[in-house]
Amino acid sequence: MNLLMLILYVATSMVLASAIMYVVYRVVSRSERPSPEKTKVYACGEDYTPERASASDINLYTAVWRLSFRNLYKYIREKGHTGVLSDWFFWMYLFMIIALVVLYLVSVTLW
Amino acid sequence: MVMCMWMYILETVLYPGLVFTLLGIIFTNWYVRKVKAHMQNRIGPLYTGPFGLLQPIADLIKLFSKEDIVVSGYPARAPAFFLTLAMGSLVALLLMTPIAPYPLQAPYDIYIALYLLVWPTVAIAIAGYLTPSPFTIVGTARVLSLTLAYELGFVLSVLVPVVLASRYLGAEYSLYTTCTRAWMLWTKPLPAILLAISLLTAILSLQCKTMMKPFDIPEAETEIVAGPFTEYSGPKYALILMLHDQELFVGALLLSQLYFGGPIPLINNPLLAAVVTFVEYLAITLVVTWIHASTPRYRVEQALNWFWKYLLPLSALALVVSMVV
Repeated sequence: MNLLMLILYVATSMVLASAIMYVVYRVVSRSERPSPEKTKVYACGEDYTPERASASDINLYTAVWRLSFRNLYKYIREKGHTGVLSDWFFWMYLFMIIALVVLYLVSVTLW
Repeated sequence: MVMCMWMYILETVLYPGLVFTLLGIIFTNWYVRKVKAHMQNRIGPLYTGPFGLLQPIADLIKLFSKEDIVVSGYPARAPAFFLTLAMGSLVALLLMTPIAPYPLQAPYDIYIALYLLVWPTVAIAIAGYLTPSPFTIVGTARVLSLTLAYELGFVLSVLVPVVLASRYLGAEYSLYTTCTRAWMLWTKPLPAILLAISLLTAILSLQCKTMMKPFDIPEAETEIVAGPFTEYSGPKYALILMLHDQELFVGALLLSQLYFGGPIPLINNPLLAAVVTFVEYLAITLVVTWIHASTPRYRVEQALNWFWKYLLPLSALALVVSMVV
């Protein structure tokens, strides 16, 4: 089997298994909606909006970037998170190309 | 071709696909709880089924029968979608190993295997990010921080047997072919040392990947309730628990086949081969559970330092040496 066919087979089995699990999840889960009282954010008896209860998503990266790569992170965040989809795709493809080049160099070196 | 397609679908659904994986999840959950309980002078699951074997099923039934509560204004189905996709990725991974009757294999397919292994971490991070709570954000930040450390360590470690088997035995950087040949390298002195080092670092990375102590930092209950899973209950929490156990099950099974060949060394005697593979899986799971039950939790920067200073250089050194000698 060549690599392209393998990718197709693996992706298909991944999607097939996921779809079965998702259907099982939907069938087994109770269908009635919980009362609105249960879906409100509870904060020690006070009314809180979900936005107030959430920390900023910038905090997702701080733990490691604060320690080591903060400037690089800020640069990528400002360039990649402009809200324009093509900017985001550009960075994702850039990372993919870098990964492929590294893998190619490793493969050539090993060969 | 039609026959092949049916075999392929049967493999995906039954063995070593979804049904086999679900049984593995249930057994792994029971085994980890039982070992941990005995290490803590408890009995563990006992009353539900023989030796308490059905306790994980009872727990899952309980969780699935609860209400599926989602905070209003946040996506109700996306977490389940990503969690099931991650479960599917681990099922697909098992189809590329020797335990599959008709394994999927191609030269350089190790990159695809490594890609499939990242999905559970991505799914957990997305699931955590999709709920409104400071605890989930902090927990997800910890997941992402640790990912940069342990995922790289795991990849470097797993590449060592792949590189060694490809250079010495012509495995062509294929997961399946590596599994069938890498175990022969234990008889050669230098490759055996490199395999031992990478097995050690791979198990420790698996420890962190499955969020078990001392690396259960993302779900540290005394600090951040349950981290990324704080807001989840009922069926979605059942999916999270299943994904966690599936990661350990597939990870242990993968390492047992990658380093010791799984069923391959005894392939002429299928029953004995299955028993040996099972024992290898039990041994790796036992080591992970043992460390889990006997160590306290690291702080996040302690774990990062530990990985960056010790584990990563060690696994990188093993990989570099395996590439040049």
